[in-house]
Amino acid sequence: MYFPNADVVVHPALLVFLGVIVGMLGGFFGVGGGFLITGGLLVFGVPPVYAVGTGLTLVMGTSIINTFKHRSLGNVDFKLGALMVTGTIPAIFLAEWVNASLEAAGIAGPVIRYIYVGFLSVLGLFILYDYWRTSPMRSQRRRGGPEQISTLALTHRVRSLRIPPHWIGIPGVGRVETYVSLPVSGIERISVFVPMGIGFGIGFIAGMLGAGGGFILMPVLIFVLGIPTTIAIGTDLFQIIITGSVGSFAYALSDRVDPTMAVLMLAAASIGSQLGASATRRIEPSRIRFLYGLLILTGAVAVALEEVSQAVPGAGALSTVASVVLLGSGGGMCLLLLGLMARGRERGPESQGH
Amino acid sequence: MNEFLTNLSSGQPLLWAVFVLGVMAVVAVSLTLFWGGFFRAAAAIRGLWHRPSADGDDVLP
Repeated sequence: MYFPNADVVVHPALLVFLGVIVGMLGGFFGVGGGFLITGGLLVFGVPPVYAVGTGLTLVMGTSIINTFKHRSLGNVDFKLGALMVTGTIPAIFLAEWVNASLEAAGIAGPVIRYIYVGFLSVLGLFILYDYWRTSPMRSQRRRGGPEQISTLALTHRVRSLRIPPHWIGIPGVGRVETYVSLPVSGIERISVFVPMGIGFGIGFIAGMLGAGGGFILMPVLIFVLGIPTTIAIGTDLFQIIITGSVGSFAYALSDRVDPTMAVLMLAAASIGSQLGASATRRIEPSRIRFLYGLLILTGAVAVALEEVSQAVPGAGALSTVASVVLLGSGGGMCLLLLGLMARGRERGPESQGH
Repeated sequence: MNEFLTNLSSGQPLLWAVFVLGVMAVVAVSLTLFWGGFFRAAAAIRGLWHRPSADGDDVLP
């Protein structure tokens, strides 16, 4: 099939395959899957600039579908998402300015990839460490107890932060408190500056790395704010709609998006999304986090291979190996999820919360 | 169609960017509605199939 904007011929079955994987992993882990799409499209022969732009556009589309699906499951905290977005948008533009400065200095590529590998490795290892650390507590969880994480002290400290100003005066309204309750996330009272600050940090990192930022936000919501895993996944997806839209708009402006390709993959991703989102109700939250840690570590390996392929002369083939590693692990993870789904029983909403 | 896409993308960047985002948003919402309707219909059919008869026996053969 010929795609006019990218000026490339790709077999539609390959795009459908990639779309299903991205939709399923996005619905299950609450990530946009930009790193997976870009890697896959590069393997299929799509020019790099179109692979990134089309990938970001697909991230936006799949996030809309996944957010709606998670909303129907009661997994989205829109109030928390809206607060984070107010910090995310200015941070993306700030990051783009920093990126441009690094690019002018000629160090953008390597610096970004080193940060990427560092983030993915630390995050993946920490999530696996948390799984190992909380394993003795999981027998209690199986008997109907709350979700267990190893950072409970940190989450309590973050939730009880008192950040000035404690109120702001709005003409015509009067004094408005800067503390809110987030009942969907199980938070009684928190300063609005905490989620806004998290949104800012995630937006900056996302802008620097050219990603949706979902891969960092999901663990931050769980381990720093102490939000139940399924709510973190749903809220994370809501946030990715915004970051994905800003990114795809910028790429579309410079004519680096192929919408025909994106729409075809989106249709396929919608099938995967239904499966992935439903799987969050059948698979234990601790297991979701464990699988996420594995996926993140695979991502770190792939980005490291990509860096080696660019830094070492004659190692260009490693770039293709990196994309194949990503696609293979994504496909394998989908098969594993289908197997776990078939074995698992549906969980009720009462079993959530820390 | 191909000509329209290439002309719009090269000639009208702002309109093109809005078009791309609009198309993706409309397709995403349409697919959501489609799958929502599909699962509701499937649940309704499943409900009819499993509805117990007056004497307590299932309708299932």
